[in-house]
Amino acid sequence: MPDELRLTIANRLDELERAEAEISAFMDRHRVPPARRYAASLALEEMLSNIIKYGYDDAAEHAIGIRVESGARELALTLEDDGHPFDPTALAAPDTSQRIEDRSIGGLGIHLVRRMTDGMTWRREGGKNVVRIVIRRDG
Amino acid sequence: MRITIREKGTILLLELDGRLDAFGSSELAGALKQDFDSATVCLLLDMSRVDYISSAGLRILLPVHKELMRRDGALILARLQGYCREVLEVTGVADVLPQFDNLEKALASARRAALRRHNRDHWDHLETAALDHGAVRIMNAGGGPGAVEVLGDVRDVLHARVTPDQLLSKRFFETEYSIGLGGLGRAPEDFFEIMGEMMTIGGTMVWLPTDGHDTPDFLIPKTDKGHVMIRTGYNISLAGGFDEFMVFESREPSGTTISQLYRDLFQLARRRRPDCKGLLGLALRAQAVAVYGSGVLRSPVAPLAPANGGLITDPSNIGEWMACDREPRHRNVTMLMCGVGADLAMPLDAFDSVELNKVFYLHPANIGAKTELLHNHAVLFKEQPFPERPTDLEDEIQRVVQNGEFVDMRHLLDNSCITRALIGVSYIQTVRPDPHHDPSPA
Repeated sequence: MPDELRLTIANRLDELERAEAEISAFMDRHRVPPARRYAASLALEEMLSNIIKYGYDDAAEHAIGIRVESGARELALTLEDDGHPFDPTALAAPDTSQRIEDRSIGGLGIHLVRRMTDGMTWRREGGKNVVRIVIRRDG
Repeated sequence: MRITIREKGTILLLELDGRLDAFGSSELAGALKQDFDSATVCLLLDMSRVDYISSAGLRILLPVHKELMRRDGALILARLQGYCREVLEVTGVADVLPQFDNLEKALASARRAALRRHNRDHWDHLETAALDHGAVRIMNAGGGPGAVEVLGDVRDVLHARVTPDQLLSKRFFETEYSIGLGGLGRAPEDFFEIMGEMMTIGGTMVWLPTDGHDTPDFLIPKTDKGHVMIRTGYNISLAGGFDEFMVFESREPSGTTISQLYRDLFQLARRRRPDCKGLLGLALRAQAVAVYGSGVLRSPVAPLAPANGGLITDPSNIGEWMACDREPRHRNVTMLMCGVGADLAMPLDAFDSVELNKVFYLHPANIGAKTELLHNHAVLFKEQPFPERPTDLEDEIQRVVQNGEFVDMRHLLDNSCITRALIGVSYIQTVRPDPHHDPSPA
């Protein structure tokens, strides 16, 4: 059983479902506990939809690379896109002193992912954003 | 995402089945576009079959919540699953959306919100009644049938014979409207000998420790509702919700006493509520012009019992055991009161006499309480303006607790006077043992 899943999708929201189905099957095979599956699904959906909605400055089709690695202690999700440079780890945390209904709603998804997973890194490499998210199996 | 409409009127009840991801959320948005209309006051979502929600789902819910707040309604979530609840908590959405673990409670809350809106819209056409000491405007509050739930026995308090093994623990959220004797603490030795008058109202627990300082201690658990345990030797709670809300205005500027108010309400109930069996449970938010308080000075527990073996209210003991105000302790304060009253003109034979006798006693400081027996506690705040058209007691109580400057908490004497009040009235149908206490020892 391979410990890695590689997948490429186009930058369209209807591709999210296919990505979710593939990763869900991969996590079934690797017996990922339910709470961690939730975190992984959430990370995938939030990060991908963010890239698709806000990542590109043109209307052309782009490829987004997805890699999931299953280790003994953790899952790692890596996303690569050739959109404009965007560092999600630099996004300011929402102002929690404000009531949610008064806050700007942007960045909610990324904030959620950072709170529900165990680590996020970003680098710009060869004209691409490379985001790696770690989800500990026992987290 | 499967979406089933269970109810559509002022309340729109949707049962969701599936994932509230980007795709499911767009389906929900489509359904709302069709069924959420200008008549909707409450949107209730049954989330029991939703095992996933992302920010896409929250982006649908938040604008709906805002719109319903504007309409004086509510977006209510029922039966959220664990991980979905976590998403709401992490993002802060849980702080603003009412949530219920069971659908019935969620529906009751939605019906209350819809009623509140209805009552506000029809304010000038609400039923009014003239009373001996003032006038009331009457609203259906959507609750009932009312019950009084009893823990312990008032006679054990009067005989100062409460023992550690009689102490009971009760989860806080179940005691929203309750009065009794008790305290807070981890182990019985922390509170057993300093228990005092106690009251829970509006998500706040207040007690008057009998530690000699005469200073109330209060607690407003924010996130740990349901985890805080109240320790009590005697407690009575109003269960089942309120049948009616009444806005009372006193005829006299000097105010109406609590006994006059109860007497007026008993009379009104005899006239128009055949379901009234002679017991009223009240919670109210009032402008109090004069507050007379009383309270036990010692914890009425067996090791501290009077040496002469009498009641703590016997003439030879009362001075040591009870403090009763002869002059008003406070004037012109905002008061939250909770209590029960028995109309002695009624036979009261509809109630279990064993349970009823655990609830009532003739308080020695109560003057002229021959036509009714009352037992009320009150928490007092610096005076806040009385709302113009109050239609929801719970909202008004929350407002007082959140904005108020806490002043005091007392067992309320019946000659205390109020000028205006929003009253939650429960026509008690049953007096029963409290089913909610935690069976593990305190």
